[in-house]
Amino acid sequence: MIRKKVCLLGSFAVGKTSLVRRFVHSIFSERYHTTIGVKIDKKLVQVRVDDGQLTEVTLVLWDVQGEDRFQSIPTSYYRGSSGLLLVADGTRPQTLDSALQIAETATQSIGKDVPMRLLLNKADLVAQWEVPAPELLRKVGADFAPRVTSAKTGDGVDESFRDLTRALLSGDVP
Amino acid sequence: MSQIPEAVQARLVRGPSKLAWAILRDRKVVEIGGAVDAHGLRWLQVGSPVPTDVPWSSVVTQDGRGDGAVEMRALRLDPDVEAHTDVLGWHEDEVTHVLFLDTSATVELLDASMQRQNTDDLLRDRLAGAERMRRVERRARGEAFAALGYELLEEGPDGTFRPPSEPAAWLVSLCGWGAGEPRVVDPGDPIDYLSGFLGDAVEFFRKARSGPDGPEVRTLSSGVWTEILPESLAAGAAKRDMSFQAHALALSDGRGVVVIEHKNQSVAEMQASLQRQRDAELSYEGLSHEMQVKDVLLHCIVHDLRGPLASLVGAFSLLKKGTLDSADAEEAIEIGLRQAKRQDEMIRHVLDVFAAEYEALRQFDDDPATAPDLVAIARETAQRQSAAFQVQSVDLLVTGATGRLRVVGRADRLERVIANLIGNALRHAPAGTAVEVNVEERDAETVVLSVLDRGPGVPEEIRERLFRRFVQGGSAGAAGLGLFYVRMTVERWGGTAEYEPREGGGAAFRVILRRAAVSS
Ligand SMILES: Nc1nc2c(ncn2[C@@H]2O[C@H](COP(=O)(O)OP(=O)(O)OP(=O)(O)O)[C@@H](O)[C@H]2O)c(=O)[nH]1
Ligand SMILES: [Mg+2]
Repeated sequence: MIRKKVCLLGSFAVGKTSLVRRFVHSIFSERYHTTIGVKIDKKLVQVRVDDGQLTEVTLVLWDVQGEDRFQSIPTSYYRGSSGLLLVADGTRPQTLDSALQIAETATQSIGKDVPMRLLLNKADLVAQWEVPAPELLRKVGADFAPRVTSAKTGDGVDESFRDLTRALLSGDVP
Repeated sequence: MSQIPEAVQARLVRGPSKLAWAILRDRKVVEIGGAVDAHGLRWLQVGSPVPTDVPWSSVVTQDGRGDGAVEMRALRLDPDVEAHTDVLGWHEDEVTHVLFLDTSATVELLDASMQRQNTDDLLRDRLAGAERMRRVERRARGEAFAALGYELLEEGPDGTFRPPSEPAAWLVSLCGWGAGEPRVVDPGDPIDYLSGFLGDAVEFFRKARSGPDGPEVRTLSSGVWTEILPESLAAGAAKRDMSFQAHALALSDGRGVVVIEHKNQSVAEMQASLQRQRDAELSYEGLSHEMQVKDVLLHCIVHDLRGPLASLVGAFSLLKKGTLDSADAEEAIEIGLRQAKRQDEMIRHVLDVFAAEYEALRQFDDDPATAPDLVAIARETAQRQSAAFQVQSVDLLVTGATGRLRVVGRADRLERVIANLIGNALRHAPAGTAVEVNVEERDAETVVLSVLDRGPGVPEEIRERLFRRFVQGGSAGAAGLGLFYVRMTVERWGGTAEYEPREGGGAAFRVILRRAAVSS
């Protein structure tokens, strides 16, 4: 059985925990309950990889406590990650800068290039986005294959996790 | 003879006679007693070291730490003494116990095999006793920790970790041990939090052992983590999240132990305090952002409203002087009126935006039977503006779909959206040109309303920020609020607003709305 570790990283309150809950348990709550340390959840995912073969993989999702100016993330959390999901909150453009910064620290710590995806979350609140989505997406750049998601409506969530999973597997599958 | 358990003593008394014993520490005698003479051990004194050349010295030196019991049979310890001695030795903690059994004396009483049996029994009992003691002690340690809500994992010589006693259900679940599987954790798999930390612990123990002797116990902490364990372990379905923290303890005797705390209680406290901090930070962030936007906006609005006012004051001043001929006076009044209207329009935009901001987010109709009909509203709105177009000699055409196209939204707001776009086009359309309002089905799910003019179009550098309320370094304010209102309103209904240069020159503003039939 293939197991892959994926870290969810980003500022506090951007929706990391909500994205995992949406993806794994198909639920969403408006209530904000900040994460302490790391919260680990798992999901068995089947994806079709490049050659069309259906592959099963257990994603071990590390939902890491949001970084802020008081607390930074211990680098040991990144160890053994096969991929990263960076999360930013579309309603708070500064969280995008944090996500990109965390991405840099994480890749340095992991020491090799792992697949990364950036999620601009809270798409359902797009009316409140001060900076419009296309502009934010352009700012992120194609390297992160950014995507707009909503943990609330589920828009783009499954696709993002699956897309990353496929990227993780493309190295493994002959 | 305090160190030998009573049970053993009783056995020895009933067993072979002429028993002597010695208790040694660091190869030195700390206690000696019994039939010392009978074995020729008179030279062995408290405080004296055991020489390396005595036949039973291997009993003393052999490192039997933990398990070592050494037996030697029928030795002649002293050539001058007529005795055959069996020697039994074992180690316990730092202390070596040696028993000297006189076998020659018991030969007469016991059959040789029987005697051997006795000795074997004694040895076996002693060994089993020691092992039992050790197990009891380990188990007791494990149980004591469990009672405090901790679980232990001990590092074994093979580099794996095992619980010393029956682990709590949560540890079994945490380690993923199935029924009947060995209770072993391999350290160092970073995919799992605990195993990753045990890898760190192994390294930490290794350093602690090789480093200089430090304080008694050194610790390494894992940080808090939370896992989602099966519901059966927790009180209610909502309580499936379980939080843990692990501590690696490098004990002074070189052993490594990991204590795992089940921390839900204290994590809840930590959580509550961090939560307060985060909530406060979020509201601060939100408020200060809002304040900043409002400040700038206010500044821009005031600036914009002053423009027409200056013209008004100018016109009134000229009129007051009374020096204008009737044609000039007419013109001054015309200018003043136009500026007053402009100001009125701006104020309406400002009010619109503020009204929309406070409006409930989801006030719209998406019922396919009653949702607003974009075609009809576009026509009515154009109709209402036709007089203003006539004044400026600009034609206003409504083209495209003629049937009904119901869209998600609200009629009154939709009308304001269209009026804003038409008013905007009129402001930029040169006399003699036409402004076109076009409504078309885009696909099964969406409808497009376009407002097209032949004016100068929007300069490239401000296109991107066109629909935004607040543009750093650019101009916003009342004049810019119309388009911001358009975007904000249609996005609330799941639509979008766009701009592109019109083919052949001019501006093309588009609003894409969701069809009510599809969205319901
Ligand atoms: N409207 C909306 N709200 C969301 C969305 N995702 C998350 N939220 C809300 O945002 C808040 C924070 O979400 P969390 O998932 O707890 O954020 P987090 O990134 O895990 O935060 P930390 O654990 O503090 O780092 C909660 O109130 C969520 O309900 C979304 O897509 N849309
Ligand atoms: Mg969280």
